[in-house]
Amino acid sequence: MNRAAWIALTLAVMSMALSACGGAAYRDETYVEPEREDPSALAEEQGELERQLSEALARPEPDCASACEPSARICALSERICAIAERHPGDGALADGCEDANARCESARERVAERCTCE
Amino acid sequence: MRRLALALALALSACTPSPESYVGASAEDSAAADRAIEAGDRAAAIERLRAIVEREVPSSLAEEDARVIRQDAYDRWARVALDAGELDEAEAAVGRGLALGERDDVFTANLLTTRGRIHEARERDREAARDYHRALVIQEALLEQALGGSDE
Repeated sequence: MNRAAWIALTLAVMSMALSACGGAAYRDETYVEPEREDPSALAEEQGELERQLSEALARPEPDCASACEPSARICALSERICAIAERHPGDGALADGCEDANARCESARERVAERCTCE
Repeated sequence: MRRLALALALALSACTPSPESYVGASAEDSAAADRAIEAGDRAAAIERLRAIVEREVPSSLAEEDARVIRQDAYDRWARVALDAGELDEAEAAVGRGLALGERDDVFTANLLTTRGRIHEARERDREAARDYHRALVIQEALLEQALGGSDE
């Protein structure tokens, strides 16, 4: 686990501890949003928000920081599997495993390259 | 009698580590192990990693948090041992790590990858390929999550 993971874990444990202590979120219950007076502006705003929501649901943002590592590891594992297959040229199961792993590596690379830039 | 019971209860609660102190001490050991590995001090690294897996887990800590902390330490212990050619020690560490529970996460994938390397070092190539393939499938699931295809 890297330093960032340790910090995240520590914060998660601390926030659980705080909520267990009965901490309540602050909420100002006296504030009332003033009503808008133009129904057509509200309808237009609602339409725009619905469109944005549909887009967001259709195309979730990729977490590129988390996508690059598994993609690299898939290909590193594929290389290991194929190196083993090369040591056993007569073994069909290992050859199939290599072919399958290579295909998964290519697919992972293509999918990540479509949406992320990895170092 | 009530005072004695209260004193005992206080003493017991003081002895039980809090989740925060458990995670903090484990993070400290982990960083010290990193420094030892970088300095080439295998014994010191293993001592710190062993401290993580042997530390008493607070009952109030989420089970999954305890699992990932310990699995990470077992995997690193196994890799340090493997790199030193201590295959029995490496295999024992990875086995104890996997015995904590296998999930579709990076910690299980790392342990399977390390076990694959141990199998290779022992010339058990088919077992190695099997572990690598299992690790690869987990990494695919992690990739899928990162790309937003699934939040499982």
